Amino acid sequence: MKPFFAQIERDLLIAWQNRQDLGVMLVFFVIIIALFPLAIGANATVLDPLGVPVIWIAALLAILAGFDRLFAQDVRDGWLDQIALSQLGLGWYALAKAVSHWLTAGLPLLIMTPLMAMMLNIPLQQWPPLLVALLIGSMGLTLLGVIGAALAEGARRGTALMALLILPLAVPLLIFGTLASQSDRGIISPHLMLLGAVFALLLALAPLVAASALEIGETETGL
Amino acid sequence: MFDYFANPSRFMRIANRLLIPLVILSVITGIIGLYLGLFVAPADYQQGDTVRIIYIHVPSAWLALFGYVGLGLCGLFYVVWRHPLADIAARAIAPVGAVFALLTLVTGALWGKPMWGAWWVWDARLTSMLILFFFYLGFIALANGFDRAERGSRPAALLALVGMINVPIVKFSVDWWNTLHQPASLLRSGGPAIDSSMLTPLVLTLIAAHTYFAILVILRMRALLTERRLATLTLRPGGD
Repeated sequence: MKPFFAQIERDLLIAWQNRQDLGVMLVFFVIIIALFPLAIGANATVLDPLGVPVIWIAALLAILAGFDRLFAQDVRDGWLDQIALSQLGLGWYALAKAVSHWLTAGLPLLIMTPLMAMMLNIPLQQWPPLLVALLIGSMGLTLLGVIGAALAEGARRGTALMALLILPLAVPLLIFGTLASQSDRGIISPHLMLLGAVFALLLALAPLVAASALEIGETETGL
Repeated sequence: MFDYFANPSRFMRIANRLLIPLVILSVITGIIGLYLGLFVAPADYQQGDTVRIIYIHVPSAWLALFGYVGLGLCGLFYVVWRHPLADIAARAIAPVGAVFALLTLVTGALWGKPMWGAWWVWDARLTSMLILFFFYLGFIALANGFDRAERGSRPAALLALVGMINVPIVKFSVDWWNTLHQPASLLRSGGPAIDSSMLTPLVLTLIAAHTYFAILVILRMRALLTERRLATLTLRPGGD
């Protein structure tokens, strides 16, 4: 486990060195949310039911936008080759990437969410289900993003391609997430459980797929 | 059997031999099926003549799903056994499947306008077909997204595998979300819920569409194999 945490620590350190990027991501999240009222109009009867969906769409876009070239630097400077040779292995490496990415993108977004919920006039008793669903949903989206980034690594137009791959597959997370957030039966709703099930599946799937995709990428760079 | 078909020229010999019978079958069933469907079969007592679009709509929808399953199987064969033809087959299937998904959406819209009063409604089946169409586009973009064509094979195969697992979940989640479309009436327990005067042309057009799909895939595979052979032949030693 030690190399696993070392990998997370390294990525967190790099993220801290580029902490301006974190700010950019958060501002992106806030701006998407601010754009909705501007497009829809300030009418509260129209706007109020849209609060939760707007937060979800903004979170989805902000998290996936952060995956721009997740593995690119590691491929270029040879870090990925070292990982493939090391005892860590590519699967654990992909999982470590997911953890550190969630800590630097998902978590700040989650902390920011109550403020956004306030701006969107979401009633206070809706906050706990929203935050819990968003917690699980953001982790699931992060794992999907790792899959997408690994598949699109080395492709032309990687970012747009990744969005095209991932957004259709993000539909279950979005549907169950928004339904769970608007649950009036407390935090633990059936939708939250389904959201958790999708997350658990992605947790098992993402490291395998990412490792398999990076393996070929890693051998190809040597050619 | 996998090994037997691993030789592309042997596979193409067999496929070429199948081609003519497939074309004959497809043309005959297509003509009879469409004739029965468009002229002989009775109009629906509620939907009138618009119901005849079913003879295009349903086969397209089946083929869109058929192609998706095919992509998943090809992905499996490519990732697990590195079968050289699986990649070619997947690349051949993807655009065909995408076109059938699009055709399903277009004929569905044409059908929906007189029946539901709207070209498009955000119903579960429509939405999952739209997502399936996007999935096809993603597959095509990924398979061709790399500078060296072969480099895209493995990521695309992995994507097909992920889609194999994830698309049913998408379907389930969308069903949960909203359903307006009529439920399945052909493959269901208790036999088909369609009268034989409508079922016969439907089955015929289904056969025609499936053989047509097979013909297109064989032709595309042949073209892709030739293209790849040409690329190998024209490759100068030391160049690229």
